Amino acid sequence: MSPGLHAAAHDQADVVAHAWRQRVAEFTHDWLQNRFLPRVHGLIAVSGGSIDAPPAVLESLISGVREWERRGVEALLLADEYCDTMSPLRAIGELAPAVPLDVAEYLRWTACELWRTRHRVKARLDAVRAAHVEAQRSFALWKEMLPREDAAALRVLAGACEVLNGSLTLLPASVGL
Amino acid sequence: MKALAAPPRILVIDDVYGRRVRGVNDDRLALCLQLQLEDVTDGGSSDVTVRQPIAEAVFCRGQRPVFATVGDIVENDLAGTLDLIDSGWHGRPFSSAPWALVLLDLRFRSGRVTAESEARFGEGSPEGSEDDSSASTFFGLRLLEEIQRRYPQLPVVVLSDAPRETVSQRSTSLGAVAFLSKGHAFASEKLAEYLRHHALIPDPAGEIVGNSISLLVALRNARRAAVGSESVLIRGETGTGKELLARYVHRNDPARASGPLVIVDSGTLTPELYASELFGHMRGSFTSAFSDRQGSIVEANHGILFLDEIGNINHAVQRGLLRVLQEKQVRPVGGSRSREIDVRFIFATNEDIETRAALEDGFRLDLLERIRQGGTVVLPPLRERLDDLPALTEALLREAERLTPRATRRRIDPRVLDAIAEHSWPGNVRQLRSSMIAAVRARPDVEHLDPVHFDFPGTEARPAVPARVDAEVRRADIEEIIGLIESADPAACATRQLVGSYAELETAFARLSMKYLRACLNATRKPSVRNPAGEVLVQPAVKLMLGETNVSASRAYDFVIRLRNLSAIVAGEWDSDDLLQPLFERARRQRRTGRRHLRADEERETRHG
Repeated sequence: MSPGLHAAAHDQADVVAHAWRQRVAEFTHDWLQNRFLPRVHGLIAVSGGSIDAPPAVLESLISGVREWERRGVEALLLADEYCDTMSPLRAIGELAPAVPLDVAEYLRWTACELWRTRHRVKARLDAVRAAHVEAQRSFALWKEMLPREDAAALRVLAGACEVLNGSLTLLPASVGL
Repeated sequence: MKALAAPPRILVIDDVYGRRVRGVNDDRLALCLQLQLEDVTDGGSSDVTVRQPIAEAVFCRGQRPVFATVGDIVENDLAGTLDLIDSGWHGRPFSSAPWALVLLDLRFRSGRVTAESEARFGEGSPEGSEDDSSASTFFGLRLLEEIQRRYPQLPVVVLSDAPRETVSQRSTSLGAVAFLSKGHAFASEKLAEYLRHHALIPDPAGEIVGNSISLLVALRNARRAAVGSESVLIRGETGTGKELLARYVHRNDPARASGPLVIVDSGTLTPELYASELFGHMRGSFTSAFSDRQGSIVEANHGILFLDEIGNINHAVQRGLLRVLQEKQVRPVGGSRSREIDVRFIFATNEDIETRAALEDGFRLDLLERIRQGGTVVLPPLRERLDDLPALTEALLREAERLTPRATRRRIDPRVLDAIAEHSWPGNVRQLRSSMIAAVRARPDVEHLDPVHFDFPGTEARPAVPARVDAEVRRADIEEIIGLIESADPAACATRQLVGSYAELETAFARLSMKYLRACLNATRKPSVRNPAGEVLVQPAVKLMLGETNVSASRAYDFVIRLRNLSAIVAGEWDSDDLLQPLFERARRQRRTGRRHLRADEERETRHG
């Protein structure tokens, strides 16, 4: 691959990676941590009896927790797109025409496998998906119990979301081997 | 002295929780519920009641405009945020305590507010810019840097979930004391722990009155020391409230708060009685031992023993105490069997026992190490907590009125505070209390407390630190005047005008020289980690006084002795002076012990100077 093509491939990879990182930040920091989890914990605190909250506040908290239905799936999408976005495949780009096709394929495959192994990509993505499943399950349980506030299900939901947040933010967020 | 206990007041600087919206900021409300905070921003109007809030919170966006709508550009506001911090930090006589702690977000979303950004991030939220999410340009870190520079005593906890590896080291080096994750299940408990450990919080029991930073730092250090199990040393001038601080440590010791607190004042006991008081005795072990006595250490079992004036104890008791601290066993005087004990010790002194230990001057170094193993807490003198004068005066006045039969409740004339602040109060709060009681007893029926009601006994106008040294003038003045007075013979004074006035002149000069020496000693104090109040250094003080650069330690001590002898006419004032009297004793001792100690002193003071 010519230096020019290589640089262009890198630039494009950077743009895609940057967009993915932005979406992770928006999901984990702006929504999950700043908005969703305080509402879950707020609802736990109200159900614990240490806070007197009028019905409107309770409604607002419940509606905030219900946002999971709409936004929870973003975690799965981010995990699904991770390999395409961050693997060295995108940075390698097109190889020079002189490289035999099977060799080029082999090189790509090797680079990708090396990257997956080195960064324990599969285990990390599995952790994201498992945390999502757990959160989904506890959310469904909580929703079933409504209008009674079920702090136990909320605690599981909060715990799963913390794991989800940690798993997503710990994924190596730059393209390369 | 009781005051109303309010929860500590914290400042939360966060773009999401600090922004103002049309109705209720639901994000802020949820955070308050999670962290058990009472929102008092703009006076607080939430209809949610947190029954036992761990803190009152003032929220700040850290950006402008605070209330933003579609089309507005939201910018980070360093100056405005620092102004808000400042308004809750300085100039609060009679008002609430300063910020106990700051919760600081790192990532602030800036840029234009659009319909899409509002839908995605909440009302008034902008779409964000490139710099917002880069760890190297986090606005929170910039704020942290500035807070640390301007208010180094203000604890900052980072309220963020930014990846730790990218910001932890930098925020720690900028002075952040901890991290708090917003979404963490035990965030409320964590915050409560941080408040206990780091925050500047007045004594909720109201026994120790005051909100000054220096006092709150001492209370914070006391709380930190309280959670351990080792001995604690309290340093402070006479009358600063060391016993009250020991009680505070006892209340805050989670393992021993329910156990006894036994107080022993070493200053009131003869050396012979001291061992018996501490270790107990067996019947017949000495002439007046008519029965067995278990001693203060055993009385304090499972609790705390507070030993004041630790610098006064003799060698034999020091040895016995060291054994108790090392072996956790006590053997009564005249007894043959030891008893295991579980006692925590708090020691207090106003003496420079560190120097005495270093010079092997009557205090054991190994004992010193033991007694300060759990930390040293320094109580500030009254002159370093003048911010507390309004609250202290109020509390002491009310106490004096309670103690005085038929005393009317009176208002405090503002000139009283000025008059009190102008005096040095070497006896600190205790002396102020005595003066207040005397003032109320002398005039039980007045409706106003006026400066004329005070006698200000034993105090002097607070010495000002000399601004600039004019060596030539000083040398001429001091040496000449000292020489003249030393050689003067009142009887030989020829002028009629001096007849009968010489004693008055001598007294005036003696007081002036004491005041001058005290000012020079204070001006040349060298604060250190071990002694934040500053170690008193003789050589630099005398150098400053004489305006000379070459003054040996022996000459400096001789000068002190000379001044003391010249001031014989006011010897009582010297002897009751906490700064000058120990200095005089030190000078006399140095003269007795000779050159070896003087050399050590010279070397030490040369290093400091």
